[in-house]
Amino acid sequence: MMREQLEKEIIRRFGPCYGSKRCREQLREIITNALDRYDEEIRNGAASNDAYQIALSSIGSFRDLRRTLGAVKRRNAILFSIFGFITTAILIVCALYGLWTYFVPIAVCAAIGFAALYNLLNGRTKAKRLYIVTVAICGAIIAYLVFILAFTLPIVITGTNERNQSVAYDYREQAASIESVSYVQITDIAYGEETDTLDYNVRKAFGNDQTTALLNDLCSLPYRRYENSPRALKTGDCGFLIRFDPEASDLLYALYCEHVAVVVKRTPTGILVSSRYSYCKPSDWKRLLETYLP
Amino acid sequence: MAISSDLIRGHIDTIIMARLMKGDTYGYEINKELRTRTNGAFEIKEATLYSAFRRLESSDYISSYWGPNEGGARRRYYHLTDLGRIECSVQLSAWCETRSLLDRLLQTED
Repeated sequence: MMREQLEKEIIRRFGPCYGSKRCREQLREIITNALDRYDEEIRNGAASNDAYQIALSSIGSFRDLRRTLGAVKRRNAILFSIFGFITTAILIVCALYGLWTYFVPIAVCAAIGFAALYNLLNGRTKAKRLYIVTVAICGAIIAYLVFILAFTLPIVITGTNERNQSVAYDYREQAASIESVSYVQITDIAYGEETDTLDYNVRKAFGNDQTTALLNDLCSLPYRRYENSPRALKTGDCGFLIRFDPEASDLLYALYCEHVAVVVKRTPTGILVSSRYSYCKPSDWKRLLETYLP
Repeated sequence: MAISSDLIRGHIDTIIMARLMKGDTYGYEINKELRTRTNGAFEIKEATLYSAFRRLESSDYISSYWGPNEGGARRRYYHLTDLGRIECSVQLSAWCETRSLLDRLLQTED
């Protein structure tokens, strides 16, 4: 009874042996030695409780013993495993989305993580500090790459850039269908009316080539990342009212999606496109238009 | 006797190798002999003993193998290698010299 209790207590104090096979074998050996000591004390006439205590104390510090036998703390084994699996998962994502730029550094991190885990589980603890530093560096690299991926993946998934490029191509082909471009500013949102502050019939003034050039420049205005849902018009919005052939819906979509505007108001003969973004100010639009004025 | 305990502990590797010079044995037996020969005055903890074993094995001074099954328990036996014998001899001569020096230095009478 006391012998079983002694064995259980030693195993409990030592903790799980996430180490090499040798670690488990040596622990077994130490348990056998402790039991021999217990038997010896009993033979020498000691009480079972005293013999139990003597046998247990003969082992010494369990912390030192764990270090000596190269036992890995469960926490460290789990942390290294998680690190290895996370980096492997990121590798798979990179491969699926063709992000080959990130593949090599993440593969290196995954290899280091698994190598560290392998060496720890095999009791090679001498280079423990080196592994910790390496893993810390890898962790920083991974965090940086995840940060980059957070911005890259949505574009890859939605295919926004590709759509923009195809829209730009459509736009150039259909620019001729635009009848006029007027600069307007919303002054009274309640009635959904726009009030012209500057009204230039671009096509009449400049002809087809210059209209195309103007629309090229409209599309080159700085913009932020495209968002799917347009916001509602509000007082102060400004932009260009593009009147066009109703059948030129592709062009409308092209201009809507690409750079010129996100917010749209339909009129019987055209649309109002407005810049969503604060740094595409009215002055920018006006300056652009004024370059085309005679 | 703090000084002698530290002194003994500092030579534990040599003590183990000297015991293995007489023949292969296992860890418990080594510890038991230490207690017996010092009349219970000195005892080495398992953690210290196995730390010494690990050290000696990594230096290739000793090797180990599983012994026969005795009464349901398998024991790991330790064997002094040829390199270990040489090292033990070197350590023993160094100890003899050190002991002689200490004896001379600690003489209270001329």
